[in-house]
Amino acid sequence: MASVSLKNIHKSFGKIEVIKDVSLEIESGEFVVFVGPSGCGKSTLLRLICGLEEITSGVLEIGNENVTSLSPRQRGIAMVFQSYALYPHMTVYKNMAFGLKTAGEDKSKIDQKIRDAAKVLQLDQLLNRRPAELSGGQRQRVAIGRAIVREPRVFLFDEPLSNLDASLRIQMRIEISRLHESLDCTTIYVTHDQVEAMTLADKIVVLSEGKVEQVGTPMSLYNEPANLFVAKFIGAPAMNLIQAHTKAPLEDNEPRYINAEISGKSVRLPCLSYNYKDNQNLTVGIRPEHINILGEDQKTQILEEDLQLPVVIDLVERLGDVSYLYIHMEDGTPVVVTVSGQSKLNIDKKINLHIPATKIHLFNESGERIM
Amino acid sequence: MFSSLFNSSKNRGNSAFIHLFLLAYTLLALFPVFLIIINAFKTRKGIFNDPLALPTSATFSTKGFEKVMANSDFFHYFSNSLIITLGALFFILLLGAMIAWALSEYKFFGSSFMRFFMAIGIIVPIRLGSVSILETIVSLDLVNTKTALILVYIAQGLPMAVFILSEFMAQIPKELKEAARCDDVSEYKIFFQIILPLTRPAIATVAVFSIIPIWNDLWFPLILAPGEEARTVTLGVQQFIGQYVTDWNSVLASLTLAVVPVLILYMIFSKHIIRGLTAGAVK
Repeated sequence: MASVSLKNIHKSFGKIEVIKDVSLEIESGEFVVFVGPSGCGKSTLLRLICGLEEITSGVLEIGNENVTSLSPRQRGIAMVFQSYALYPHMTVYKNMAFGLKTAGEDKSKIDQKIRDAAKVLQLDQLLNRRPAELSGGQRQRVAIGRAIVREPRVFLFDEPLSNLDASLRIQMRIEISRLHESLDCTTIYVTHDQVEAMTLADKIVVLSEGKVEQVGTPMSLYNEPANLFVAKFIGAPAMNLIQAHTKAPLEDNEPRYINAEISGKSVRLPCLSYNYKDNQNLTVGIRPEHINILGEDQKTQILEEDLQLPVVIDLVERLGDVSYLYIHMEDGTPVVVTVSGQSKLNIDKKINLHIPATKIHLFNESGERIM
Repeated sequence: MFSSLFNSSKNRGNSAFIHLFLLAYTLLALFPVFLIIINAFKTRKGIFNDPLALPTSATFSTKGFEKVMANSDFFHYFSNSLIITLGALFFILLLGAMIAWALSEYKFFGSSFMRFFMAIGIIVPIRLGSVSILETIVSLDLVNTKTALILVYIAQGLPMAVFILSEFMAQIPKELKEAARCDDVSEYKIFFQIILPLTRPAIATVAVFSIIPIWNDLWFPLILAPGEEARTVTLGVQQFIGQYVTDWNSVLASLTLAVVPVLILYMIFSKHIIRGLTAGAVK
């Protein structure tokens, strides 16, 4: 167990800079998930921590020890690869023992460690099989077992579940989560799947184009995305983003509102303090599950500052427990609404949306959160 | 790859044609060997009367074999050939695999020149350098030794071995090496315990390709080691071929015997030419 600290890490491949000034503190025992779209540099960042790629500039510390120029084998890490990377000509037992034998450990001790790990991962029956004779999930467990027996200071996972089918993925996700509980080891986990990120992480790091967009707990990222990128990336279906233009503040305007126009309609957007001028672009974000449909839900309390927008339904998806309504506003902006249960609304029906002011996220022209 | 080609009914005619062609080629290639073997079991008269006939009770004779067996020198030649072939083969495979691994895995000063140098070795036949090879061997005082032949054959076999093995090694998933590096495994152990076992099919291929030209070579034994001490089978056979009279029984019998070890070595290595050894490594 050890803390990991990244200080102004840069990485370039030739002229292309893929990691741009990443600084990050990971506490001992923490489960950190790097998440982002493909090509955002999350795997590269993991490989930099692992030592498989050289850091162009910056300092990496593991357990308060500068490991920037050390090789992977000196860093005390263990990595689980997306492709498992099991040695195909060795049995499961030998796969797990291979790294330990090199370290020159006592034979009976090695054996004990492997048996223990095998028990935890339900591999007891498979120790004499070769990787080719295992299913995907079993291979994944062997790869994890190989990492566990080394008792590393930091576990690194590079998209470990993306080769598994959906049901197995959920099962392994729970197993990894349970394993982290019991081992209590610092873990860095890379994924492009936000569900994995939300469910596993103590702390999520959202990356985009080699930069850290936001770091925080899953719920803080969900409730208070720092910018448009995080707002769009976290949550499924994604947050609705509606363009708005500011209008000149009135003399008697209360300071906690912004006068704006959405789709030709004058609105007042709640905001604590934001100095704005006439005709600035704003983005209003609202999660699909926070939108109500007027007339459908009798309990909805409509406050004065809440938004009301007339829309038309394009498509209804019913999943049983929830339904997704795909609708468009008068200016054509698409909006998704999640309603619980099996919606009885039909295509082309005109409805009125109610957007509670307290649930609104506001982003300025450069995409930063202002409310 | 081929099986899928043959399985589809659309290509059945095509596959029959390919098989017919291969069959014809096999017959053509085996015919001289067949001729040598049948004639080795015939009397001299039988050989000259009808070279293409199978041995009958009238023409059957093992006189050639008896003569060869009686000649104790022949076993000496035989063991020379075996030592030289296996010795050269061992170093071709070991050094070839090491060079191939170095070239495909590490970037070092002169690595691209090294690759180019090896490619030249494939393009230019080693026999063009016979004169300077002879000079070198003479100056090293290695004339008429097995060492001289082994060294030359290593040089002859290395370029092709490096070429085939480095192609093959480049296909080994890089995650395997990375996983091993994370597992605190030394580079030597990665090479000997992960890369070499996984390269086995390619090594067997290279072995088969390398054995035959070495075993059959007449050129270098003739110019580098014509003496009695290091004489090989191919050179030894020449003693039965005179300027005026050739002892065909002995020539054919010794050639038949010379086929046997190559055949055995071939069978050993071809058993290892199996595909799909990396199955289960990744994905």
